[in-house]
Amino acid sequence: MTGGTSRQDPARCVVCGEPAVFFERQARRHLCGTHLIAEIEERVLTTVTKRKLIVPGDTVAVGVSGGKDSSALLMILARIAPSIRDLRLVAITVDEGIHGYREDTIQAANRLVGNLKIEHRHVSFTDLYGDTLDTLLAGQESRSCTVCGILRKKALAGAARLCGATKLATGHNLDDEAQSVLMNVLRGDLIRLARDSSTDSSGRFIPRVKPLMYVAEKEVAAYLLLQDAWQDLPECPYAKFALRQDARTMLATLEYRFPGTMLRLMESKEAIETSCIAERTGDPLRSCRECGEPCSGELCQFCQLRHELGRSLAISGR
Amino acid sequence: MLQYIKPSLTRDSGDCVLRAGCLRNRPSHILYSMRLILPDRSERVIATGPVPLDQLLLAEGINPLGVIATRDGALIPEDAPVRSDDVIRLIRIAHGG
Repeated sequence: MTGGTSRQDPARCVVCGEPAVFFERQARRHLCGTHLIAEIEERVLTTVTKRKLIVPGDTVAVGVSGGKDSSALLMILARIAPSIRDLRLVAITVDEGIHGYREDTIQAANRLVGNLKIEHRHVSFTDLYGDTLDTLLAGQESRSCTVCGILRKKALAGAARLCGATKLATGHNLDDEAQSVLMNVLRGDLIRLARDSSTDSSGRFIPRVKPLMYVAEKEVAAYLLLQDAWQDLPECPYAKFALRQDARTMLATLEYRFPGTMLRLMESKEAIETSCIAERTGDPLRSCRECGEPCSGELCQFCQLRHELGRSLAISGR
Repeated sequence: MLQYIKPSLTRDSGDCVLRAGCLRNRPSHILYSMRLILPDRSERVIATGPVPLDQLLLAEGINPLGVIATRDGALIPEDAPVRSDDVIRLIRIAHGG
């Protein structure tokens, strides 16, 4: 633990003694820019290798929206790629057609992917489903995140399959994952709480991995700022309708007062996953009776949504 | 004699810029006074003693975990002490990746 010799002295990096730029509240230590960047990249590399999220020979489709998390994810994966033999990265950008929001983030995504010289695929809701999210949601904004999540997931999975991906990486950070745990508890959704999407023993879907799952949102922001990669982009206009906003506010308050809260929530989830594995014996993966995609029920989430929205939601490029 | 040095502020791209002014009461005692412009363009005047930045933000109802602070364009830790000649910019960490 370091700090200045008095309240007025600037804090120093625990590693090198240079002026600190970041305070890790849980560890109660200060880091300079260089060592914060190194710490984050090392943490991600440890996460993906120890948990076997990404293995040699993988083709990783990276969902890149242009926002801070997916941008940091792509930058970090590009940096650590030499440490993973025969790793291929493909960036996938999904355009939901959210007016006044998505245009800016896609431009940011294009710039970043171009600078990193990584293969880039674009897909859009209009091309896939015949309409933008704004049109699909008209009058149903309260369901925006649910609808968008299902359609984005399908779009990403389809694009990943087309480029031969063996893993699909998204930029969900520690805050996102902890919020999801809390939301699943609040909803009483223990099935989702115990689910691990990073593995698939049936081989019927591309495993989804979250390399930033132990990187806090504030660390992601600092990582980008320190490398002049921060983009001041707007927040999704539909975010205000979601339970996640309340969970976010609640957890941020708890995390400040009781540092490590989010990490402990994640550890609890993993403990539940582990203890549920033994119980999960008679729950085979089914095929959707309408589209044939793997699912846990008779209909997949996408086909259920089609019925609920009362629309055809044409599936192209499947 | 009370000497009041007015704080000044600027607003840049919707972020908050704090420029600390000070009240000089006695040579050995300095109070900090600053005006805070929030992203919604409302303003607050804050009179406080020298405190770490995070305590100042909390007193204004801002969770330090939800913002990043820079001073003279450089990132500073959330517990950095605020100085009388500081220009501190707060960048809101928006959700969404």
